[in-house]
Amino acid sequence: MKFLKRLLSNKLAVLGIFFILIFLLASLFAPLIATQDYSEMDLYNVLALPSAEHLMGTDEMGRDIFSGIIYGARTSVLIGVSVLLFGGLVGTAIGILAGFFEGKLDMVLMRIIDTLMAFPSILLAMFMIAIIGTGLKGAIVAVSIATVPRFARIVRSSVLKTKKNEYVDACRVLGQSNMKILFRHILPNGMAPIIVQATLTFSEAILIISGLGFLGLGADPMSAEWGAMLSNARAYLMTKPHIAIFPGIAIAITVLGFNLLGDGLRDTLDVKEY
Amino acid sequence: MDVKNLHTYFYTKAGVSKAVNGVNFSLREGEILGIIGESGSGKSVAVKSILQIVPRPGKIAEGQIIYRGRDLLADKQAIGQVRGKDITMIFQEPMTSLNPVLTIGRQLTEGIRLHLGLSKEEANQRACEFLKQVKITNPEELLTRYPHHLSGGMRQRVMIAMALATDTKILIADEATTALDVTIQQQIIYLLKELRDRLHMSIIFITHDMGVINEIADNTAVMYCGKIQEYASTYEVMKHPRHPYTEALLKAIPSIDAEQQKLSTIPGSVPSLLALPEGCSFSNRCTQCTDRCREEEPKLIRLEDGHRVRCWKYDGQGEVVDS
Amino acid sequence: MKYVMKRLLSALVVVFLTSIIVFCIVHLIPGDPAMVYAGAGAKQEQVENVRIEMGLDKPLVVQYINWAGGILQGDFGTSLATKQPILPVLMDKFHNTFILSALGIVFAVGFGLLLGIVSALKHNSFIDLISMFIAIIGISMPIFWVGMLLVMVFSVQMGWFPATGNDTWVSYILPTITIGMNSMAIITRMTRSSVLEVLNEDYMVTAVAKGLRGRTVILVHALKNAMIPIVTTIGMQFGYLMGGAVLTETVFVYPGLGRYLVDSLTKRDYPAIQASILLLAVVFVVVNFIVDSTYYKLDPKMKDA
Repeated sequence: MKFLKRLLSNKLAVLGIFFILIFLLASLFAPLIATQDYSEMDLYNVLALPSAEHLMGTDEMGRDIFSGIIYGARTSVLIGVSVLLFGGLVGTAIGILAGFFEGKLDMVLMRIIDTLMAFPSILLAMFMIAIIGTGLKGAIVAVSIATVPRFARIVRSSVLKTKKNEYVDACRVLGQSNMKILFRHILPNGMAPIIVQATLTFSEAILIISGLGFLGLGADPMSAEWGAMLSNARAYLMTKPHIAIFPGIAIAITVLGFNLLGDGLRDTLDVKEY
Repeated sequence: MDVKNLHTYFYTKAGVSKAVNGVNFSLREGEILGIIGESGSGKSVAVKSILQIVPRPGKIAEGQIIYRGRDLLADKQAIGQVRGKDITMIFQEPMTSLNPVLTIGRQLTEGIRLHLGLSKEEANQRACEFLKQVKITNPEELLTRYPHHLSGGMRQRVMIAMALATDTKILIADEATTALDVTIQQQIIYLLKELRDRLHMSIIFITHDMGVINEIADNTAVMYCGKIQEYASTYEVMKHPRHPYTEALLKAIPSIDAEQQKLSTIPGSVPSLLALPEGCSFSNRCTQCTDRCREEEPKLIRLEDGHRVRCWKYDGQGEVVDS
Repeated sequence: MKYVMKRLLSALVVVFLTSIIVFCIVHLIPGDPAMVYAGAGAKQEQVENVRIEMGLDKPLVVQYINWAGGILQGDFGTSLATKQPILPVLMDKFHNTFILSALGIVFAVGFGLLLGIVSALKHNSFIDLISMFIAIIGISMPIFWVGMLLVMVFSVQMGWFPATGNDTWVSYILPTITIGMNSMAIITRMTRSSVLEVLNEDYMVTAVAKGLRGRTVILVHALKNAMIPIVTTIGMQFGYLMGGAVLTETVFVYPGLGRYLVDSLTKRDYPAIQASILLLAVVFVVVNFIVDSTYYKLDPKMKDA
């Protein structure tokens, strides 16, 4: 656990972990923390400033913003984790195939990956949405596909690097099967950059998802989603700007948390491929 | 050049590391001085101090470096006029010591143009002359190439040419042959000696390899824990070593002819430069150590034949030369 | 030269593949493309007419050839929403987005390089800490929120800059900062780490030992090496910038390609969607190609590859 000690001595990383914990706790215990159900509309109290009853005020439909933020955390976690799972698994699989077997397979796969990487994630996501349609499902698939190339690249380069180590040759001489070598030796040793990538992917995913929400292409605009909340706030930017502040802070702090952690992990694990 | 009482320390979070802790030596014109010692002995830091390129958190704490009547450490202007011109340095790793994105020609001529004020054509010509001096056959072609086109041996020759072309008086070679193949090593050593003869320059040669010192140096200084422990002509140091450390080093060199069951080693380990022992810094490893050695640090004394040594074995046999 | 030709070929292949995928969008979505083109609520007869008109009864390959052929001749099809040819509108919007992106990248590179170099040179100093702080916040804040904040502070509160539109030069300031902020932060971080790495290299010690004057050492020896990965990053950023254009244009109601794409997506105007995405794809490929070619010029090792 020397690694934990080193990580925790990095003050910025600790700050990041702190932010992430707030985010995770909010999403986990949402029904307990939120003061009311987000769909409740207090129509006599629209666009209200923060008060005792509405800690962060209300939006244009009288919904409690604080509750929206808390439930929004839940939405973000759901989407983020889904994206990480799909994108991560697919990307890792591709990376392993390319890195482990090399040769023609590698070339073809990397061509595809490079092509995908040339496009900004948000546009890739929009492209996917054009095909799949808007909504939560579409958003998840779209953002997942956008994260696949990055994972593929990192996993591939990690596998390539670790493969070169002499103990892999030793394993082969001992007669271990490819699968065993891969999962027992190559992957565990090559985990470091993958972990860093996973952290940074989470933060990127949140940014893209809220971006899609902002554009009205993501999750249901009526649901509690930070981007959608900001989109609603736009119309009132001139008159009641305060409703735009909190959702934005929520996004920024969550993303910042994962970025700080990712940076800290990168420094602690001494990952250089960034 | 005279180096007097040089102290260079590293101020780290863990404490003050006394890398160079009172070093004195003289260098005459045309002399090749070899400084030998293991890693951490301070030999590299000492010569970097001469050029004042000691990396942070190192700082020269005290001392004088007299070159042509000027103290380079006291006179702030002096080092700027001398660094890269009169006193130059070549390094251990030829593969990484040249800038990969600049042509050889550019790297050769920038020093020449800066220090000698020549025009581009003149500088190119001069660069070619010196490339010929280091036995490179088609220098004009080389000028347009990049470092990655050259082998290690060739890069080191280029480094030498680069150092000499500014009319160097003192060339410092910091482990310059350590990273090379043995055969290339020989070529470079031979080349350096030839250049010394032809150009009347002096060389300070740093290494941990006794064989190389034997081949190239006129005089040898043995360094350990930041101080010179023995200092005499190379012949004397090799044939009649006085300091137990030098004796042990020489004994540790395996010989093809000798009947040896076990390789000879020096027991114990080098003390930390953050916490040097009270007495002689070699005391914890010396087979001839006495109580006095452990309590009091010996001073460097000059024996009758000019041989200098820092050891209580020779107490009273000569006059004290430094602290 | 061979290297450049290889990259060119690569680029063309990518464009070709992308065009195929883009073309397939209409056929990938669930439902009958003819119905999509005819629009909702069209009667069966109309749908059949559309099918023949748009050549949807022909084999897929032929359809592709027709479509691609049209594009190469400048016919990007007709918008389902406006029933007008797409090309002129597309070009106008693209022109706007291009200007905004160009301004954004100049802002990002200008400040990014400056801040990055200064931070690296004054490693661990106060300036360094502040820059890094700004940088990490810069990559964490969502672009659209940055835009909204800027509008809140500078348009609403202080009334210095307009919040929307692109008429006067002043109106470009806030959008430029918004679109460039993220990239600037990334460039700053990349520059700082690249310069720091280079400063630690052996050849920098050689340069100092040669007695080269401080400025020469830094500028020539260090930057020339440090710029190599930085240029790659900058090139990538231009692409991401155009992605960010979507969000920025929405916040500032800027008549660009990004907003056009979003509108088309919402309206399911497939010809417009296809045209926009294809155009954006081509732009990225071109930018990447240019960046790759520059990279080749900067790094002598590539010249032999």
